[in-house]
Amino acid sequence: MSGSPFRLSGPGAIGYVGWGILVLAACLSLVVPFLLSPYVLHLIILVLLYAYLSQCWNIVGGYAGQLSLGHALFFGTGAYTSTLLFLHYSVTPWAGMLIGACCAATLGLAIGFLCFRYGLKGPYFALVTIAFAEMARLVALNVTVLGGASGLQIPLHEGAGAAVFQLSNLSAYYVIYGMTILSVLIVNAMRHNSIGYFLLAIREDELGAEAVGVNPRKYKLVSLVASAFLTALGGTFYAQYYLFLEPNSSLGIGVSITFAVNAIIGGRGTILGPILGSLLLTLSGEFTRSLVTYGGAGVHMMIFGAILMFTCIFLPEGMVPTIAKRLNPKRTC
Amino acid sequence: MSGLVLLIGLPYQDKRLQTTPETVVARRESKGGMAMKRLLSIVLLLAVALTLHCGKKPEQIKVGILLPLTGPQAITGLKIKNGYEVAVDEINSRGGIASLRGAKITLVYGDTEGKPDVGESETRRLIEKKGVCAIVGCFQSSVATATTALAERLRTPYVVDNPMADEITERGFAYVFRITAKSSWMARDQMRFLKDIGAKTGKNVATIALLYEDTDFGQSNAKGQRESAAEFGYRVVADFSYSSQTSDITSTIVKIKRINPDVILATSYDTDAVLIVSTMAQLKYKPTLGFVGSTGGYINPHFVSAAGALSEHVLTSSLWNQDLKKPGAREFYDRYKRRFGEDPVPQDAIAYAAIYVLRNALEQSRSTDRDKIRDALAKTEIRSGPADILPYDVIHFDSSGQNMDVSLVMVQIIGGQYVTVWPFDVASENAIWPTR
Amino acid sequence: MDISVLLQATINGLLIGGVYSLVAVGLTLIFGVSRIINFAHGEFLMLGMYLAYYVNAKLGLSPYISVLICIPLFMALGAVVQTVLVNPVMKGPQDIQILLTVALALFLQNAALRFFYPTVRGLSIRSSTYSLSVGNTLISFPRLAASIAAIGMILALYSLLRYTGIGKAIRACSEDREGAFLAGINVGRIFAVAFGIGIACAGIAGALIAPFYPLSPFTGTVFTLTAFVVVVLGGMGDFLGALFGGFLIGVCESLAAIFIPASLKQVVSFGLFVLILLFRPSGLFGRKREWLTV
Repeated sequence: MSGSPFRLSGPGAIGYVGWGILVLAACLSLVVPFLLSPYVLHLIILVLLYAYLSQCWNIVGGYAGQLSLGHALFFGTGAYTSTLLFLHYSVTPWAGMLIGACCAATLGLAIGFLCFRYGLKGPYFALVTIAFAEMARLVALNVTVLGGASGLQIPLHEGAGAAVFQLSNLSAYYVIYGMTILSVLIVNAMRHNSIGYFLLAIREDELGAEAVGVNPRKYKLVSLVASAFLTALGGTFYAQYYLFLEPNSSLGIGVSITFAVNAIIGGRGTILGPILGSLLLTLSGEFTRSLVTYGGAGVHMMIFGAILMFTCIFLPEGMVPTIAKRLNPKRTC
Repeated sequence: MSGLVLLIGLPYQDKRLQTTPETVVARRESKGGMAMKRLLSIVLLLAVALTLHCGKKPEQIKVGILLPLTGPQAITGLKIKNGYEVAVDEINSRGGIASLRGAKITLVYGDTEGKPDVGESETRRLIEKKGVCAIVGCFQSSVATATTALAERLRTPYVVDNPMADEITERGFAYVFRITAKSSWMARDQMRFLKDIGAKTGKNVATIALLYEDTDFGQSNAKGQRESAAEFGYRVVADFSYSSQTSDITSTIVKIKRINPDVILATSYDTDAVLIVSTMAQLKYKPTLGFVGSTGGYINPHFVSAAGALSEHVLTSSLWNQDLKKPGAREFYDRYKRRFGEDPVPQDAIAYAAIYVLRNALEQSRSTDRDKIRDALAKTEIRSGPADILPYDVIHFDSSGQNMDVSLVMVQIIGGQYVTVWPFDVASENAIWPTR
Repeated sequence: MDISVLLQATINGLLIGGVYSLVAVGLTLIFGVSRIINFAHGEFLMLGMYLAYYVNAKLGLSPYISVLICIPLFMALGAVVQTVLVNPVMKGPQDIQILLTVALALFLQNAALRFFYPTVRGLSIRSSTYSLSVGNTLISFPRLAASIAAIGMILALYSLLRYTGIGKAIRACSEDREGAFLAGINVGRIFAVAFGIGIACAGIAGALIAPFYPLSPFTGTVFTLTAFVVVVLGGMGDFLGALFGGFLIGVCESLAAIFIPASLKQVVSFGLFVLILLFRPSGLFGRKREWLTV
């Protein structure tokens, strides 16, 4: 598998100036929400949410190189767990978030153990993840306790735990903003740590990595569990933001594909990739939907499919590495 | 206008007060000219003001519409869109909203894609970005449950036209008003029909099989049917759910055939409705007394064309039919058919009525303020007029926002047409019972 | 449980299984030769259904004649798709290849939505409601015809692969790409041909099920997933495995729907799918080879 440019130290794809601009933008973005209309703020929250989720996917899909098309399983587990605890036992979403994430991590451990122990790679792994997510969706659809097809509706609560999520877009913004920064920091830390080296080695040449003493199963498992844990946190946020949960939009294959596509189009194995991918795709999705008129049925998804195919053929590494190469053609890695 | 005139007239007054030697001379010399100029400009101003006022476009009232315009439910979503447009065009061509100086209604569409979270996103866009004064929609119960909750938080009135899940008006919301029945009421009406037709023909029903698709639509209908059947003393001998996207339903039909119920109560969308009747035909099976659908795929005219002769004598609950003995019903059908070249579905009729209910509220509230519209909606009492094409006497909402006196009819496909067969006083023909 | 119910379910399973086999054979052929997992496979089946529908509506021809039109048409379509879209990513990472076919599926499904409209249609021909009675069981004529035609196609394909020159070339390419190239086989063209045949299988299956299956742009997805289960069951790249696997899955699903709620029957399929991938990835028949096995 051809890798994307991957530096383990130094400024990375965008250089020091690039990082400087980013930091400045980050500071501004802390203040700007107060000036924006609620709808624009909602769009930004969406972009950040999917940037976060795709970044979590990136840990296992980009850095470890294991294509998972069933991440909706972890997402949905986090969402349903925290929601059920909140509805039936009045557990605050903050605690529910962590409990849900632990459940998802356990699932990730089980699935990862099964798959990696039995040596499932590439498309086989992808197919198994699809199967697990679909099974979870079917179960959620048919079990009444989980809300069945009607889903779960979360009522507004004035309690302190819930209030931060629900009271206003503003607080939701800061929460997801924090989570996105957290995911970036985690990925960055991972890159500069030995685990980053190991995952890179495993991704590029698993047999070779094993030959030099890196245990692929262990590290793939670690990356999957971490990814599952973090994705589930995002699931709770999603549930508390929309205040409504149902099987198709939280466990469906479309959800998994969205996480993967954002990261892949943006640039797998890079930090900025998922963020850029989410920015482009989430916004264009919202935009083209508002253009739907007579006979527009299916057109924006057609365009989406076409763009995706185009990206696969011409920009298989994603946008960030391609742009990086343009900006810095002397880079060899 | 007068303010504007004053504003422009002001400099003239200033000059008067300034009395320097130069200005005195200048003024004395052009006094006559000045007077003429001032008169001329005032006349000009008045003329401009008048033309602006008359040629001024009346306000546009933006109403948000939520529909699944893409995705698997786009079938019906795109059709319901037509119903809204017929109503809006009629209202606008007859002078718009009279109490708001002829303001015209503009529909702003939001595509829910059939998903609750997308629906919420679109709701936000319509309310916060487009600034609609009210929302009407949105066909699917699961999307409705989510989007009405959001509209309630954003204090925007929401007229729910077609979604039937009970809980939509059971949450104590103030901004949500539903025109159609609850799905449990449909179940109750289905049982009433079975009782009436049994009494009339002597062919009474004892056993019922429930066959329903596994999303919110099917599950909530089945729940209502189970409860009503118990109330009316019918035994539910089979209770089968299936995925509306299934490729094969033979096993389920085989099971039902074995159990041999008197009646099958089915809840399906479009594709599965056709699949069910064609599978039954292939297995040479018909229930002993009748097959009754619960709106959804069964009241879509495409069911008749896709299933052909197999759809004959299928009964289904319906919220509207063109042969209803109601003054506006036939006219609505004709107008719709003339414009779009195909038959309206009952959801079109309710969508049409919903726009008129909103128009009524706008007339009463004399304002596009959301709270005022909400209050006017709460006081709705429509007994006649264009909105009165539905098979009951009055549209009015109780304190939970539910239209209180909704009742459904039972239609049967006879000769490829939907014919109203119950209640007997609004029926145009006798039901064929048993349906085999 | 009444034996007649079980028998009916088994018969039905076998009948639909024939169609599953045909679809799966196409998928496994594509995988075996070019290692592409074609997520858009079901969409071509859907296109085949619509072709049969329009040929019937506009020209009045039976869908079984459409099958004959399908063969050259879909082979050409497959070849074009392979050359234009798939080829550029063949040398790249496998994940991009998967994503490409996913994108293609999305594109085709929504193009169908746009151009054929989401209205569900039925294709009714005179024989749509015929059925034969064998004792207590009913065998629906269109399903029987579909099954028989499917088996016929598979056997024809089998002979092609086993005994003809081009068949041997295809097998050579699947076993050893470079070796085949060195032996003078035009590998690129073989890939296009194989893809074309695989797609044609899906299209033909679509035309065959049109008489008894309601058409909609979303029909494809269900068949794609089932085809995956069959292919995995039979062994990826295993031709005969796909043939038997199709019948097996058809019967399993049919019987499972008798005992558990029909909406959960897919859980059984997926569960089976996962178990096989984990514990017997070379498929039930265990012919341990990574390439097209005939």
